[in-house]
Amino acid sequence: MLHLYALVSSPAQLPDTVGIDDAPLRALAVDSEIDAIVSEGAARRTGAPTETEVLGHARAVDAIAAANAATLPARFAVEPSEPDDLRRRLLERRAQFGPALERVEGCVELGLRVVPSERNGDRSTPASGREYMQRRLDEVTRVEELLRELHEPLAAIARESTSNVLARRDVVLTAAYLVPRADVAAFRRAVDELDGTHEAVMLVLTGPWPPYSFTLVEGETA
Amino acid sequence: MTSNSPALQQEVALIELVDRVLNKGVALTGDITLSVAGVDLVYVGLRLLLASVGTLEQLERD
Repeated sequence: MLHLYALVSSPAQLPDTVGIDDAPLRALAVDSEIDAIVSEGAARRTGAPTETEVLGHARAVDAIAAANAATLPARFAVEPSEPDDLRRRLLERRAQFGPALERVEGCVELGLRVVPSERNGDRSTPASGREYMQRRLDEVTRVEELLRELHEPLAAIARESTSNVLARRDVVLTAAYLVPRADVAAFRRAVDELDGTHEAVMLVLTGPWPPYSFTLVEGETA
Repeated sequence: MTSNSPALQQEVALIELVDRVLNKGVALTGDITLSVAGVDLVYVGLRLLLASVGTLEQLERD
């Protein structure tokens, strides 16, 4: 039974690291151009993945992304697969992997989380349903402004981006950017500059991550 | 405004890591998408684990 970490352009470069349960990583050819990187998985997992498994997966994917020019990270699969079954399911979706690998080549992902500043915002209880609705509308309008002022300039300098408006008390919006490795420093400076212009929110930039958020090209669905 | 809080940075890095590993990436059948509550549960566990083995720094790469 196999646990899948990532897909890479063939020939796969195996990093000097182990997978979940210290199992060695190995390459499984999907076809002549794409390799899957896998390890022998436990026979059966039950329930939610454990912390150790999540971290083991993440560390292996990090190492794979560092060793290969183009990497598509795999989502953590709760159930390990038989080798033939895994390969068959990958081949069924083969057509989407080529363009996706091409797009992420030489790039990393940066994550942005926009959170309210600590003393910002009205925490009082709304006096009425009408007031609640008005506040909620105001919040959404404000986030849409932030999307234009913060996300759009960053999206313009990234190869690709996604954003997610949340308008919650703990997080206003999240976004991910696909950025060529060589442009990461410039991207960070752009975030710092934007950060200085908005007192009401804090911009928290994370990464570089393997391109987890960019494994499907536009127009395709999971 | 800029966040200079390492605690906030670490907390966000953990949330972002769990979200990516469980909810993003190439998904084949047999995968699950955890509910927000599920992610929070894993995240709470992760934070405890990381705090106990002192590997929080490893999340703060580069």
